[in-house]
Amino acid sequence: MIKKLHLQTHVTALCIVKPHFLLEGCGGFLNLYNLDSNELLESLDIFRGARIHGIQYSSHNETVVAFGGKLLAVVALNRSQSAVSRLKILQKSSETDWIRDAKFVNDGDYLVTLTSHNKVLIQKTTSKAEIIEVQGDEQCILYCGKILGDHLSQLTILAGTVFGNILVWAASTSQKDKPLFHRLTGHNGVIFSINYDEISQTIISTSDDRSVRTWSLLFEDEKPSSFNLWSLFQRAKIQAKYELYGHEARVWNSVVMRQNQCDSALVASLGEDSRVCLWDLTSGTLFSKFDAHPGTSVWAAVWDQLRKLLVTAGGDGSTRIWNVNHLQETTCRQLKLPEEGQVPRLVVVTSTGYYRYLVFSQQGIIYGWNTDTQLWTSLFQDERLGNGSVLDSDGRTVIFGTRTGAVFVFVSGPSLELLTTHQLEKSKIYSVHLVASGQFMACLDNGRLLLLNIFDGNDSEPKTRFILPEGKQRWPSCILATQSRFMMGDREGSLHLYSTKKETPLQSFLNIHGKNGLTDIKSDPLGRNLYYTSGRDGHVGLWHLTDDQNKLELLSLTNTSLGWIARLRWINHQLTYLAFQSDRFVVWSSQQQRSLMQVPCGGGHRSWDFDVTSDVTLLFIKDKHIYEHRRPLSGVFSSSLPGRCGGHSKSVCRGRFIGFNEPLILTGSEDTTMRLSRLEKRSAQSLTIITKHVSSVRALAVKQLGDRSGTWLSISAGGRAQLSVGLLTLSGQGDQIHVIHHDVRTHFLRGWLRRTTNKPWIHCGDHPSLIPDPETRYMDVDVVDRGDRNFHIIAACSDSFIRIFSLALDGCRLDLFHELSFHNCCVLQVKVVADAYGNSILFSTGTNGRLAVWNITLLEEDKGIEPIGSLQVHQSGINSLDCQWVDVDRMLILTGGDDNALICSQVEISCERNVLELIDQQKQFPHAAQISGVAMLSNNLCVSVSLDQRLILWKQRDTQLTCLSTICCDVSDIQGLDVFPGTTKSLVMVYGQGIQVFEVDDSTSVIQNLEYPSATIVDPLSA
Amino acid sequence: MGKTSKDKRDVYYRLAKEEGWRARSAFKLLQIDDEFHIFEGVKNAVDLCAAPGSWSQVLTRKLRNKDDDSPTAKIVAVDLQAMAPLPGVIQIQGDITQLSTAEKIIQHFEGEKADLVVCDGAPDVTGLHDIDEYVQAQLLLAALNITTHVLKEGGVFVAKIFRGRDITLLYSQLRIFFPKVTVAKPTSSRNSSIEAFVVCQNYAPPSGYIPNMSNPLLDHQYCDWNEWEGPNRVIVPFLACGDLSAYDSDMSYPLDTEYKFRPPTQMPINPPYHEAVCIKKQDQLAKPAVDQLTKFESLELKE
Repeated sequence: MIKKLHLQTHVTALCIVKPHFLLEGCGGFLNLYNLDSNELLESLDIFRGARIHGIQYSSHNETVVAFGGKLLAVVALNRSQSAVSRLKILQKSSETDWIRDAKFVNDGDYLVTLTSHNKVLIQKTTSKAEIIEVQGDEQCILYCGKILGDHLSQLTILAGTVFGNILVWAASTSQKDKPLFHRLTGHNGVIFSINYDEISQTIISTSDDRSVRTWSLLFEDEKPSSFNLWSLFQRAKIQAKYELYGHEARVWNSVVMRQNQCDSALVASLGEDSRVCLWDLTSGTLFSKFDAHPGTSVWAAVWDQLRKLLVTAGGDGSTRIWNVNHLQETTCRQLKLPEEGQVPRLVVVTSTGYYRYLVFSQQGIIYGWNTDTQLWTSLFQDERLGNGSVLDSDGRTVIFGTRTGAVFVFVSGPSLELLTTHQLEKSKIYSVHLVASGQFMACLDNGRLLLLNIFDGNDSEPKTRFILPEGKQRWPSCILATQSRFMMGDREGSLHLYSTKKETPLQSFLNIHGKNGLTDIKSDPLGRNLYYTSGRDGHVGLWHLTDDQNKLELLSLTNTSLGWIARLRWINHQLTYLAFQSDRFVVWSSQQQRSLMQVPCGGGHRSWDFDVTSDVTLLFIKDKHIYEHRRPLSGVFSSSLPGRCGGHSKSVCRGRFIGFNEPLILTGSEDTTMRLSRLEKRSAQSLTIITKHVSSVRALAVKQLGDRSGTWLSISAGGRAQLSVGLLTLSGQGDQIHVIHHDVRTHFLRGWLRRTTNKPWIHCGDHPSLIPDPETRYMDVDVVDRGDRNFHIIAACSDSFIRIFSLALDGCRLDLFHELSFHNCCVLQVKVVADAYGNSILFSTGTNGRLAVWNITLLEEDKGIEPIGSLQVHQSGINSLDCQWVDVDRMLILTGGDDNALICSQVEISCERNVLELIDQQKQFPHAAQISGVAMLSNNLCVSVSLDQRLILWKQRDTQLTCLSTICCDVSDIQGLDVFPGTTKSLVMVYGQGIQVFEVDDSTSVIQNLEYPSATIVDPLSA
Repeated sequence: MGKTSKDKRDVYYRLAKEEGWRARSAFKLLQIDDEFHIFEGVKNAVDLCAAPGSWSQVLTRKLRNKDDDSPTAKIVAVDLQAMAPLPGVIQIQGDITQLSTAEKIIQHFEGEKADLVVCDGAPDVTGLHDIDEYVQAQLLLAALNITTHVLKEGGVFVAKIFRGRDITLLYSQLRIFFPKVTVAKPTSSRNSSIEAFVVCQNYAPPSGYIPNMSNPLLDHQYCDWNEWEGPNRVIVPFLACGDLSAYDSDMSYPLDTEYKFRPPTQMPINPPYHEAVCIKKQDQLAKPAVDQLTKFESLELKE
């Protein structure tokens, strides 16, 4: 029997139920949350695999109607505090056509549905049999529709057609004619949504043409009462008001947000471009635009008027809560200095003190800004603080180094207080740095660094001296102090490790962050001897300091694709990057993989400071003016529903279980990232996101190093001929699992190709040059342990080769070792198993349906090998394969193909005799579409999964398979499966447009209650 | 990514441009023909949802100019969108759900019916597979509905399908009109794609069936909940098309050093996003008001 455990896929429907409930449709599951306590109360599988597209709640009968595809369910919601089970299915039905909208009218006595061919079905809720059908005059396919009116006598339909028209018609049951009030034209594509705002009497539509349009109801004479919808729409002239272009892709839906009845409304439009645009309905101006579900579509949104929250749901399987109220409080303004002619040079935002902003002018005057009085005050003047001075600040202490070797230390408190001054050598100070525990470091000429105590005052002897390696710009850009070590980054992009006892570095990593400079070093708040570095090359490095503190190891260097990263900050326990991308300042969350805030400040070459308290503040200088950009913290950081924090933004190409203290899953996706996730709260929670691939991650292989170690070798491969090796080190348990990813080596296939150039000064035209050959895709990988931390990696390639790489973990070497050529078509699968004699046997399959078997135990470089044999198993591509030994030379092979066939073959394989012989074969066609995943479990169980979304559990005896049970998955476009074997119960994960995890065992399933009423096939003769 | 990277990744895309096809899908129809010989003895052929016109191109090359003495076949292409003209193809810009379109087709055949109806139409996919599969099924059923008006008994109907969750319902609907329904997957259609083609042969509507355009054909429903997950679903035979020496659409082929990039044969005509793209190119997409401030101020300074 198969049981659904965890699901992460598109969230496509949301509904708020007062006072504090949120209903969410994820796949066929209806989830109920408490918005106040942020907990998942209940999860009910109402559609068994079909997706929920809409949820409507009626307070009259305390009932929810959920619909998706042709299915509709009526669910009672018990709102009382004490209820144990709050959701109860009252009725389920299946219509003949796709349902676009459904709602209760007449105080819950009737249920009205609008289907995709512009037909309205009216059903009395008390007697189920009676259905009235009202067919609209036009029968073309609707992509969306809205039922207006709370009473049968007022039912008005807004229908968006495939041809870009909006039809407004009265669904009258009494009259024969169904008057078409209006046909609104203007959109240049399919209409994806229509909404109606009663208060402003505006229709809002979104479309394939990437626009949001608003349409106003206008009246020449007296306005009819808004309760009489028919006369309202009949007498109105509907006029196109605004065409709003703000999205860069299709616009799926919109929601009206209104604080109070009388307020003007905002409209949130939801785009395929992952953004939410907030438009002012009255003026048509764009109020705000933010990246809500990065890399994927925003499918649904609801407005919680009580809490002033916007809840959005997207293709990454997350449901996010936005404090829009606070988004509105964003201010950006210029703060003019009180005295004319003063040119601001440097700015500092203090986290404490009376003066929140400090500005240092070119003439050496310090101004302080108080947020209550909204005034600048001149605080201090010393011309040495003018041009040429450098500063550092930790939000409380501000330190200055001048051109003449003087150091000023200020503390921001009730006022700005000059703490001490130091006079160092009469040399220019190139940089000053506050380091921990009352010390600072100053850099003089020729890379000479002095470490001093702040309180020692003038003419004190430096504690220690250091010297920076030679370079063009020989001063540090950032310094981090640990117990007895200093890490320094410099303007050359190098990282140095110093001990307090030695003048020269213990270790140097030259130009590790490119040549434009290393910008920040931060330690991990959990300790663990981990450190992060950032650079102007847009990379983030993760470092480990060995226990003896003498060596830094680079674990990974990640390209963030942000232009330049200026600082690292831990905000809400998330590593956040403060970066510049073209002319914008960007606050980027590494955990959410999205920008939290963007300010067009003109780029990175300016003085700026950033602070997070209850407000998020950016102070910067542009064109000799000071600007303040401020917004409330909760307008920047959204919160997610528990268990709905989201996963990959695109299709998951491969998933693998990792059996740590509990089964974790590693997934690779088309969105180019890998995620290691933990299964919790009926969903999956990402523990770490690995972004080292330049293209989709199509193949994964994992192997535990040693039996008990917490370290796994992870091999990932995919598009643009990239193969990457990493080590995942896991510790902790439960929700305290920590992951360290060590990026060992990445390999790109390169070929000798002639590159022609039209730049004659580059002598490239006649010489073949080594350039990446990026068009080969890796389709699958497997790994063989060869002992002594040496491995062979076998990769299936789209250019018909099987490539074997040798990996030596100790020397950190990854080299192409061998190329096998046989298939002459795209190779889809590779799998290596050991035989009874210790030989490594490789199975490979191609798009031509052929399975080849190889002995790769002994491979010599430069010596080609032939397969032991090959079998034509399928008509076309073999997408999945699993095998098991049944005897010394006998093996069962289970394959699933593009031709819908599931084939179980028994073969004789002998490396010694070089024999591959087919003994027996059984073919089945249990699936309606291509089979993308098969696996053999223990106790003669097998599973198969297909793009038809069915997961089938089989009992296998020899090559004979008998079906035990079938389940319909909630994940579409299933790319494959992986199993986590257990003694009685095993876990099965299917992946595609999301992830779903099942529990399977061989107990027979209880016949489930078949709630759906049977309906006969519509006979075309009777139509 | 380079201009030619798609040429390397997708051999049929490259070949289509080299051989002058308007889309790579031309090879799919050619490979289906290799297996099913759908063009044999065809006098009248209809291409539904024809734009950009690659299947019409295949029809002209296969049915016309073979030798000059045989009466040339008539080819009618129907699409809602505008399509660049093709010699030898009669074009109708019309809606396939309208009876008038069916009548126009018959008119062009001078009262005769078609021997072959092909349909390669597909909606712009949304990314939600259930919606995409539903719309594709509706498109196919609309094509089937008009086909029942124009196809001669014994005729052939070829159409694109998405093999998805409820594909069996579509099969059972097709089976009512065609005793022989086969799913074909040409090698030029990617292994990783959910696309496939149904080849429906020997058109034989149920006795007494009167074609009716006034109501759309709807796809079937599961008879009861058992069929949802049970074994009684209608599964139709599968046939891979295209011989083994044909190019593999999933395979990446290196380009010759002499290779020259070619632009696509036919660019899209007036797509829905046309205006939005123009607006974006002129940097006229709406921008949040707050972001404007620093920009306005710096403009003031320059004056």
